[in-house]
Amino acid sequence: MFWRRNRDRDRDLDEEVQSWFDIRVSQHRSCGMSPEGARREARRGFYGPEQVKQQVREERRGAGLESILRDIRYASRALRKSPGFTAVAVLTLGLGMGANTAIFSLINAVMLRILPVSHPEQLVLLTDPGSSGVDVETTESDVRDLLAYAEFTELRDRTQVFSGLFAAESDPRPIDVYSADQHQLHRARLQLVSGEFFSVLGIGPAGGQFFTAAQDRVPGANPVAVISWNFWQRDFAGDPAAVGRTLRIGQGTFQIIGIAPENFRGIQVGADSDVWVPITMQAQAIPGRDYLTPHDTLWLQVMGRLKPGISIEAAQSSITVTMRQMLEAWRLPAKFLNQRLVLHPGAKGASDLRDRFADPLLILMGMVGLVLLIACANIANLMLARVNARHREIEVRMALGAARFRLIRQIMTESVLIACLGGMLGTAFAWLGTRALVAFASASITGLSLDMHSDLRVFLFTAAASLLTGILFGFTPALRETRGDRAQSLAGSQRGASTARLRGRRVLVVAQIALSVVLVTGAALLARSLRNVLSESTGFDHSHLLLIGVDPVSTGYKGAALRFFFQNVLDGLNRLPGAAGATLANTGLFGGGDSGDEVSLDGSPVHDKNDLHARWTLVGPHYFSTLGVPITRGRELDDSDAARATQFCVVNEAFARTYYPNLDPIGHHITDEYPTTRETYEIIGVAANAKEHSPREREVPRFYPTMFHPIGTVYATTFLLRTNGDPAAAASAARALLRSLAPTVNINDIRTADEQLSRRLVTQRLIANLSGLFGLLGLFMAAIGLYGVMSYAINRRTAEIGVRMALGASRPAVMGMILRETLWLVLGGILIGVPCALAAGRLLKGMLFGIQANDPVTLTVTAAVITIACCIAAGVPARRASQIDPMNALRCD
Amino acid sequence: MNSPSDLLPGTLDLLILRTLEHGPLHGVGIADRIEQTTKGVFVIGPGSLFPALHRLAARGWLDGQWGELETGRRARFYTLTRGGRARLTEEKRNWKRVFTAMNQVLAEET
Repeated sequence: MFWRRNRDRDRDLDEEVQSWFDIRVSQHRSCGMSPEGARREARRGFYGPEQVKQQVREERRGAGLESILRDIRYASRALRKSPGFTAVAVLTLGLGMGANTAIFSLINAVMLRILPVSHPEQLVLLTDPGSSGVDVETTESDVRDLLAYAEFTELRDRTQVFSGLFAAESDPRPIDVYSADQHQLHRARLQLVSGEFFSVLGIGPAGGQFFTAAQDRVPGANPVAVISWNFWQRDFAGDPAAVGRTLRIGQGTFQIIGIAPENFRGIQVGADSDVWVPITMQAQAIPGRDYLTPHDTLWLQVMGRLKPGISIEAAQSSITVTMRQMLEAWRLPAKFLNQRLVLHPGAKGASDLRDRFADPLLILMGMVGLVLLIACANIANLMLARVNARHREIEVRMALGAARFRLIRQIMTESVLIACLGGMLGTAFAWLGTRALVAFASASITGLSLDMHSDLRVFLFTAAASLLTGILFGFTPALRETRGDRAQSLAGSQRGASTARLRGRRVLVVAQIALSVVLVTGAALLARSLRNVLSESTGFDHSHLLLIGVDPVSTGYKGAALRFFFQNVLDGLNRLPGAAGATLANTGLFGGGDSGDEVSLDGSPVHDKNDLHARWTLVGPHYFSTLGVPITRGRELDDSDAARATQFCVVNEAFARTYYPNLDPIGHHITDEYPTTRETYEIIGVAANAKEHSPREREVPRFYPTMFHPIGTVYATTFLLRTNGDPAAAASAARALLRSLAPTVNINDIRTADEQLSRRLVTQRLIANLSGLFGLLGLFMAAIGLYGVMSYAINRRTAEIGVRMALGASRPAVMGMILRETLWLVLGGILIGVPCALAAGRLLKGMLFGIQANDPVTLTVTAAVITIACCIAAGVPARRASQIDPMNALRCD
Repeated sequence: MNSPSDLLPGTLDLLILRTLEHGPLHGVGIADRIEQTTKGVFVIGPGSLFPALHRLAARGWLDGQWGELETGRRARFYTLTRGGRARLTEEKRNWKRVFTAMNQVLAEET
């Protein structure tokens, strides 16, 4: 339609021009001219029909595509003519856009991606293991993050508001899987899911079929497995015959019956599943512990699909009632009746990654946004200089009657073109950047796998950001330059106009410096915060410790055999060359998990049940001396306690202070009141407070019962080995020792405590490193902007400086003058930037440790760094100014 | 005068609108009429005329319709629209203001 109209108009115009020519010829003919002469006469003052048509088209403003295409051709020709400007602008913008796209890609992958299932908006998370991390079996909060299998089946059978519910193992770990027929080892992430999993999600198999709810009723009866597309491609080379083959998982042999669709990577962001088996096959797939029967083994995340027409609020009130009825029916103590479920929209799946990275990613997004703004200001500056150079051309065109709109559009086309090129370069940078980021994070997060493929959303983000930045940095110069006081420009007030332009550029530089203040302050705060965390005393020396995580229980160790195994490994470790002590604990150091329960005490003045709460860590003999935590009273557990499996424990000072103020806790008893695992221990010692989980940990009351008479069953065990030399060097010897003592025992991982700490701090390190990088980038761009403006100003003032020098100003005086001007700009930027930085600092509050957002030292150092950077940037043009030869300069003018 | 840039901006529009006030004309007719009434001071070439005509038409001040000359030749005739008339009144007023102002300046000088 559009094109037709244009074509018609062109034909019309052709005819009209022809008709003009014909009429003129016949007029001249009627005056008695020869046909030849008449035509020649008619053609006079006629530059040619094409030019006329061209001009008419020019006039049809807003005529659309055709003229836009011409603008683009014109703009690209103009850009090709100044490759230096184009390269700097595109590179600057490419860096800015690259940083933005990279961070946005991460946000997209972690926070925005919707599960590729049918009607994801109907999905609801009944439990959100993400918010607490997984496997924290504490009952400190009333809101349940995980459910027991019995609770799930009960809810599934009673619910009225969901068309279906399914449960899935909340923390699937990579395990060894063997293909039974080929004896080939695969490393795969296994997830136990209830039979409703695939039907509730509403996905269909890419091959074979999925198991159903009916195949998940009788424990041990359905040894079937569904594998992921990626696993199928990776380990079976996409062979269709994979369906029907068998896998040995744990102690069972499972037949592969189906392959999940390509885009379905599981319901957990950042942790793709490879193999799904029915939950009732737990005893075969992950043997050693019964997950299905106990009501207190919380390990499942549960999702449901709402019945049509039922809102999440309605479902919430219904499920609250159902949960309450269920708990009452089980005759649990009153305290446990308060436990409830909080429903969350489930369209994006579940993720603890989201909780850990949401805030850092949003803060980083803000920072890269600032970097992009600084880049924009830089390009706007360049554009101003460039438009300025074309000042005459624009004036002439406006005098010729060219519409202002057309000129603005032309300048804008140029800037949007630069923005698009920058966007493309940025996409390339982002591709590299996201891979580097994911690699950085995967080094610290076991089994991290993010779906990083760029989707439409990332593309739209980059496109929109490019367009917006193009308009942002093109608009001011365009408006300013075409601000049509034609009379004034004819009058030739060149100097006044360019002074105004210089003022505009100075404003931009001040804005850039202000933005850099915000960026660099943020980066400095985060860096110092990380350093504070790292240098925060944990209460013990963790630089010579090796952590060896094993799982003896799932391979069948229990009771006396387990104690014997512990003692054997400890003896072996102590005999290793370079060993300076060994012990064990249920949680290692700086791991994620922790335990805590309600307790009751004898001899304590604290009686309020609500206050009687303590964390606990199960430890082996010589735990405190191996770590280097001083015992302030009494003694620690020793080998004879281990051999006799005494029910002794040690408490930390926070515990002693809280529950036995001014009293001697030794000899008193602690009872852990968790109903199914009630145990009582006698206090034999008090240890100094230690931060074994995180340097940021608060000091909380904690007691340390013995591993040799634990609370409940201990599944994970970590041996701690203190070495005289580098602990990493002992890793292979420790592995060999375990292999020789217990060939079947699963070794989870062997790491130094320092390595584990740095993994623990991955988000802090990520945000500190990246914000440092972005701060530097922003500062660098601002410095370039300043350099450009000062160079320009000095070029304009060559004559003036020449006069000054001719009148006796010394070179240092000239340099001083330029630097003074720079300092005024910097001062302006800092004065504007500091309040902004203080405001922005409040957003960082949650990320900071041991430092206030308004830390005066940080602000002062930041201001100093920026001032120095700016003086260096201005120093080059200032030096050039001081070397102006007065004679030359005066002659020039 | 051949180049539109020598005219004060907007003058050509006023000339065209005013010329069409008497009735529809085609391009050559408009150019000839302007040349005649100004006694040859303004000679408008097609390079200035057509862009101006199309611009005015695009703003809705003129309406162009194909018609036939007495010789049987086809030509596009331009008519002043209602909006065009309003515009013309306005332009006339503007011009008179400028004209009076200029005259006052010139009178002062002598």
